[in-house]
Amino acid sequence: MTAKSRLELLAYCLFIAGTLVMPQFLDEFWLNRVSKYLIYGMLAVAIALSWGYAGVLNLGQGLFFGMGAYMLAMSLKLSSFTSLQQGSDEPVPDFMLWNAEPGAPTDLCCITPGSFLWIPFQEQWFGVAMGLVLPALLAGVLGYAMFKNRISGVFIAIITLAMVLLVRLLVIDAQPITNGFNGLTDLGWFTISGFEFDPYLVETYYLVAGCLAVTLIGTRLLVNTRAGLILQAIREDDSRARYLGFNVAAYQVFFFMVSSAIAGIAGMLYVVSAEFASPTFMDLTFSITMVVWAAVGGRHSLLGACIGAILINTVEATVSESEMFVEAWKAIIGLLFVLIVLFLPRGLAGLASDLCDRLLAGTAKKRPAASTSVRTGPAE
Amino acid sequence: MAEVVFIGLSLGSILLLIALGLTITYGAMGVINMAHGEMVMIGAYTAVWTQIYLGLNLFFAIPIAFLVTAGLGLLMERVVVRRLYGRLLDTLLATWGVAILIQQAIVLEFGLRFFDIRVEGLGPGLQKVDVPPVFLQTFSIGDFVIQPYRTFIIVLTAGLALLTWWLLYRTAYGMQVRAIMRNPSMAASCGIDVKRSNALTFAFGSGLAGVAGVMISGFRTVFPDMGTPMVVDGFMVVVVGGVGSLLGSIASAGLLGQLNGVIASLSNDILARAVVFGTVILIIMWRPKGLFSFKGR
Amino acid sequence: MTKPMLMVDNVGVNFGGFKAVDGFSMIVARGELRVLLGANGAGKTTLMDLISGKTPLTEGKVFLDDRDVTNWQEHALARAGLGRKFQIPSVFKDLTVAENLEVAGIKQHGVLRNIRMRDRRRQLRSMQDVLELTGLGERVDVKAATLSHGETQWLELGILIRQDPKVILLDEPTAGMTQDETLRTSQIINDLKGQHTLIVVEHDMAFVREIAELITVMHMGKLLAEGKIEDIEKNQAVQDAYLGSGGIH
Repeated sequence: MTAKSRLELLAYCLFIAGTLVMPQFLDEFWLNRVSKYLIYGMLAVAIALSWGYAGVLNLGQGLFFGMGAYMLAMSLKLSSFTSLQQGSDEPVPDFMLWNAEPGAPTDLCCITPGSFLWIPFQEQWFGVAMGLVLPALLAGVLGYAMFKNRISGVFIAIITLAMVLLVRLLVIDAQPITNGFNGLTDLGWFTISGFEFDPYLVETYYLVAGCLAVTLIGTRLLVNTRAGLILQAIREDDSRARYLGFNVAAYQVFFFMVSSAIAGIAGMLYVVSAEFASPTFMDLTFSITMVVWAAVGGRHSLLGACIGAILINTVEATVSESEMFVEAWKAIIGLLFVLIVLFLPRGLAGLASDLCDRLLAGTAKKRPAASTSVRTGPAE
Repeated sequence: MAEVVFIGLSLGSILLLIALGLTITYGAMGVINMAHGEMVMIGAYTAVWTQIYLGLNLFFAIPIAFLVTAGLGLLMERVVVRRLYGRLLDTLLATWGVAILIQQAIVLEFGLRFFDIRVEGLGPGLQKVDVPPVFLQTFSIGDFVIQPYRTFIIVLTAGLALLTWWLLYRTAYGMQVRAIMRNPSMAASCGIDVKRSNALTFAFGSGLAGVAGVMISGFRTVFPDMGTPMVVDGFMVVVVGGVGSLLGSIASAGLLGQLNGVIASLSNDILARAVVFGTVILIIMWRPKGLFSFKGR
Repeated sequence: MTKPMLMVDNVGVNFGGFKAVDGFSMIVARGELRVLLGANGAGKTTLMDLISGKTPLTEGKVFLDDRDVTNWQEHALARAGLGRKFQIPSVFKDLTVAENLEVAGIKQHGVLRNIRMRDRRRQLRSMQDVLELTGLGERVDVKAATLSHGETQWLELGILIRQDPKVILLDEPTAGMTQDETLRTSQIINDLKGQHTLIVVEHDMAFVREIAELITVMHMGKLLAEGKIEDIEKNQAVQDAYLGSGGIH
């Protein structure tokens, strides 16, 4: 292990430990806020994985986030108090009654056209499973179609962007089963074996922080596998990788799916802690904002991207006392983003990495005897 | 039926109006300008301002908007875009940042809001531009009702497309631009001032967006983030048509406009847009280089 | 005679009316080193593209070790035993030399089979001889992007050695090299000879004399001559074809 990778490990440990001790310092209101930022951090990890490691810029990551969110929100909507109070044996979402044709039976099977799709979501596990499977599946199909045709670069960006906007419109248009622009609100609580995850409980925070920690460690290990190395090789020169016998499309599809599944999980967690799902998750702006987070944090570093997302959102929250400051903050983000693309393409993580190199070079000079053993010597 | 075709035609001409500038900045310079929509927005605000402060109508706003946005484009090229040539996706990201900056400049009234100074015609609210009275009277030929403003847009778009074609294919400047399109470094070694030419191209493309903004201000409300969906539409037109192909952009704008119009007449606007996105995805998958593109080896 | 390793049977390609390669045939025996000669535009690189599946061929067939591999996808061809070095060196620029060679040495190609940890020490041990041969031993942890032109070419050859394909196509391995660098390259290629079947496209006649056994000459997409180097140099048709471009030098 090189001294640098030791430092990296230390950074991961510190970060995860930091997220886990947060409840000691924050009240429940802030804890709920921070849990949302951690979820954004997860999204940034997904972006860094596909953009930084696979070289695939997905401008429609919000699609997978939104799908995950909607899937779980459907289950949680059915378990909400209002849904159980609609005078039917089965729970029925309130908005379906508002959208129903006069005289339609108040039953999930046929209250509005397509409402039967909701039936299996009465089981919460089904919503969770769909929140994971559907984004991965769609990513698999979309990825296969794109990568098999050797579409790359900006065309992927445009296809994914068109895709998220397309699905967003379909969701809005399917008002009778999605509640259109309003999205799904007034949800029940996420429940695991009887325990209800009230978004303001510290347990809910730990659920989110735990998922983020697992995601970070998991993806970091994944990119460190041989498959991860091959993926980076493909990013550098896909033709060379093909001539070494690798089915390039298979690797790209696989990692595209992993990245989308992470976004799906993030979407579900967001529903747990924010208690709504809305078509705004699939706005163009949101998808690009995720890319901004990853770029500021460092697209080639999973942890860097994650920290970038958390940092930006935390600062944004602290300046959001007045509307004017929020607008000014947006401008600052815009400026910051331009500057980072121009002068710091590797983001904050790149900066940290350079500082690290300088630091290590400094210590190596001070210990001439150990200069050759930097690779094996313990980091002091 | 004729009415649907006419609506499709006017939708297509607006698409083309937005896409024209992108066709040349993306095609000729390899710059994905996400702030193009903001140029449209600035054009629309110029129309608002011309109306409020100069008391002039939409006609006069057209040349003013062209100059304003072309100047802004020139500035943007000098400060940001110039440093990013050859890094296509980075131009997309950096210009997205610029787009936010321009939007916020309007929302915050160039920062004057911090000093409690309000400027009429700026800020986060909605603005409206009046159409000159000549355009309000519809007249009909038989059953067919002609809306003069939409007709004016179609004619103006055709004129601008023609002007662009003339500039690209019939002038020395256009020859240089087309040379840069194919091979920038070769063009440079042939003595073409690539930097200057690129700056002019970017300014011209931005100017076209400004004109589009003026036209759009005549039938839609004007607000700071009106440009975001437009840049998306513009890119779809350009990519479907084939990057760098003027004819392709015209054809794809017509196609997508008609598609939008027909589906909208059969169902609703939301679904029509969704179908357009779906079609765009399929076309890019089927022919990533667009319907009309350079034949290369 | 043993079975041929590579058989190119009457292949051709049509680029919108222009036939870059036209009814070309060639048989290369197991373990042979074949040099492919021809003026610029004779169709050498296009032929390489046809054999290696980069450009789909419109006529003819390609057999690799007795298997019909006509128009196979690149990765399938590679798995069937074909390796290729490009005219413009193609390595993984942002990866280190060691990582480049590690990727090249992976024999299982599936995604899921490669979800396993890497073992740096074992990797370094296994690539020792390649590093020695290519002289990149000092540069293992350097990113490929920072290598010199010659070093990059050697790294690509190293990648091919690690890949260990049956047939290697080398497109101008000495292009842009200094004399010393060329010398090392010919050492590497001579080392490859025997264990692999090699097809080398080359212009540098000094280098060709150094390595060549049999030479195939292409002209206007067609086979012009084939034989030992002495015969080729004397061949009237070859001399005629080259007169326009200044002869073989």
